[in-house]
Amino acid sequence: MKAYLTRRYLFSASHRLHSDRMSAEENRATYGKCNNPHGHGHNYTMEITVSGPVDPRSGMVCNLVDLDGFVERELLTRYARI
Amino acid sequence: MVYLTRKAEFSASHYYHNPEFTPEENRRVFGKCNNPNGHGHNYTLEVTVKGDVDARSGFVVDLRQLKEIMNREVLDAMDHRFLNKEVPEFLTHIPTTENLAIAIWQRLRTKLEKAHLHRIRVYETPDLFVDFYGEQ
Repeated sequence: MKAYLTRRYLFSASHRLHSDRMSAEENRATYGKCNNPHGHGHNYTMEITVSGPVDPRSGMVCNLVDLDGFVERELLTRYARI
Repeated sequence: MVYLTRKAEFSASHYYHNPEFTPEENRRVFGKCNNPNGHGHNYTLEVTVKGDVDARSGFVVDLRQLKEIMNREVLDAMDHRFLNKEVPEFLTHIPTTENLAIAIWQRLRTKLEKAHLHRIRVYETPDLFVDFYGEQ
């Protein structure tokens, strides 16, 4: 039996939208307030969906402790509060 | 083709345990969920059916009938129950969110008349949910 499991994670990060290939005017026209050189922040919500057969021994598609560890290591420590 | 989703909430307790595992394996695989005294969740169930809109009624499915079926097959059987001991499916299967979605699908699939079951979504928490589409 194939099921889909979705886990939602929250993280906060700052950024600025700016392209070196555009002039200062073009950047302002394209990105508006997001081109502010001092940046701005967001609270992001990320949903990760995994799918697969439900393991008859564990009743799970994916062990949540493993998924949380992977997301923390590969994504949250890399992107959160940057 | 139109899709219609009906939502319901229920609360139940459970714990995760595989009698074929050693106590250490059970603790390692299931963590805190292995506590034999159980723990509870406020589940949110979403049942999505699909079908053609009936020209005479304008409905995909009779909403009152869908509510009655969900109440009888799911809420009466599972709300305020200890899933491991009071719901027959979970005498042999671990009551994970995945298996809960599959069990609810199997309970509802044959009870619907004109509309076809499309998806069962079970939220264990607002940040964790499982979708089942009847795929093998």
